[in-house]
Amino acid sequence: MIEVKNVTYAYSKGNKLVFSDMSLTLEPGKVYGLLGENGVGKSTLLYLIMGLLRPSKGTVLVDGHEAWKRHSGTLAQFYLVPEEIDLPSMRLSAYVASRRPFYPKFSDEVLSDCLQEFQLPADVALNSLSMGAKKKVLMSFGLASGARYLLMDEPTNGLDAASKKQLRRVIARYADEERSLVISTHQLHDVEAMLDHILILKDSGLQLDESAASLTSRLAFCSLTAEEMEGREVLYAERSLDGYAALCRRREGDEETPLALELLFNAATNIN
Amino acid sequence: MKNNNFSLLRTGQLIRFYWLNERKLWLWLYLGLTALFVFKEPIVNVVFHLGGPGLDAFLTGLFLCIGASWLFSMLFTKRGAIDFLSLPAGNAEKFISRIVYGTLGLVLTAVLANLTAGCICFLFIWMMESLSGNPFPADALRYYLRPDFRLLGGPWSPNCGAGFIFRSLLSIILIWALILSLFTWTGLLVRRYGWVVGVALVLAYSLIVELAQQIFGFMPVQFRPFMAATLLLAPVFYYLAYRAFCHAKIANHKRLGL
Repeated sequence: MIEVKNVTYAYSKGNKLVFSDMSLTLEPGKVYGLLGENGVGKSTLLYLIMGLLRPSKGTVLVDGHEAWKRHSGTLAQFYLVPEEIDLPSMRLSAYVASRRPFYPKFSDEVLSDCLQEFQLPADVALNSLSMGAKKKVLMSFGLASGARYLLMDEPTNGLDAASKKQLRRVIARYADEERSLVISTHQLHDVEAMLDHILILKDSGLQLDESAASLTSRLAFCSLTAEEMEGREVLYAERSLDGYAALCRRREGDEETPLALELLFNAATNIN
Repeated sequence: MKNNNFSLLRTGQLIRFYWLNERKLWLWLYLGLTALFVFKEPIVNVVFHLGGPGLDAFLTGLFLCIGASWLFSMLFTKRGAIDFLSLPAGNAEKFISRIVYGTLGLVLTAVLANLTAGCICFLFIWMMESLSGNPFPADALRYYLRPDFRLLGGPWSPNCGAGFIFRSLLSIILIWALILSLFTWTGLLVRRYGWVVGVALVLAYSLIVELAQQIFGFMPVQFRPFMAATLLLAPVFYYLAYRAFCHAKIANHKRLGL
């Protein structure tokens, strides 16, 4: 379990606070969506969780150990797929050989399966790959590493539609009770179907921290006309081709509606 | 979950990791040093009329400053820092492995480059002598392939007994420890405050060597209190560098976040 407790952080003294007294808990076995506008601190939160940054106040605990101290056992629980990727100039086999000793639970089978799913060769010169292909390599390695917490920063950036579909299949196959995935993204449609829990950052803190199941049980994501809206408790609405895309309180007896992540995000970032 | 056990195996795995990722850098360093050793004397000493222990000290200092600054070069960019700091190994393992790897690597590279330069210079002399119809230049062979580690510690005595070699190697390692620890710490400060600090330190070091030569009449490598200072100060400087490393974090700008 990852516990972020009363964390305050700014990149340097005098700068605007990225987080102010923020707390959250990440439990194993879930796929978290970390959403927010550009520059709100999504990547910063991932770095704080991994101990790559130290909070000015508060602590980040990973299974009871302070992340900032970057102990070997703690770091082996994580694998980060960063937004900007810079792979060394070597073959994939050499890359794996140099890094796998640090991950005791590394699985060649999982690596091979993921590479196959992503339609990548088993051994390739890394500097000959496109940015999207490099991301797929790192995601394959991350899943094969056996790390309990797989953190992905904008994983679908640079991926074409087919690759995004491959990514969803791979995540669905390897997300299990022992592993948590945290996907930081602003490409909402790419990850909508994968998420168990939604985290939305805004104004130095968390605007929303709730499971997808809880959201769909208490909220309804509807497409309404102006007349239909008058009879509903509408929390947020925006114009759409059919009238209004509305976020309403779900009425008792009504069927649950699928989560509309973009509507939820717009509502969370526009409502105070 | 085992968390904070220092592991020699993991330290060795880190050294292997550095080597697999940085082989080309060592090759370029070796080639550059060889070229420097081959052309230093004819160009610098003849053209610029420079020479003596001051020039060697300046080059040694520059080499060590660059080498020490390079020790943690993976922290100088955000992407490199993410890759290195997130590698599952403890801070102590990463720091010690990097110091051992860098120290041994720099010493071996300098020695190999020196020997290669000696071979190249000797082959050139042999070619010139052969073209002139002169006999095999045995003196040149002894001169260029003598175990002369001037750029590592100072002029070498022609009496190369095993005991002398051992004492001299020990002196070199101790001097490396002091200088490298000093420059490891200052190398991190150089990246924090700019290269002016590094150049100023190297010039200061050169001046100290020149003054020592003038005042004491011998090179610091032969000065026993200097060796004692090395044993006392090197751990302090390494500890300061380790503390700076433990506080290293990724940063949005190019300079190391300390």
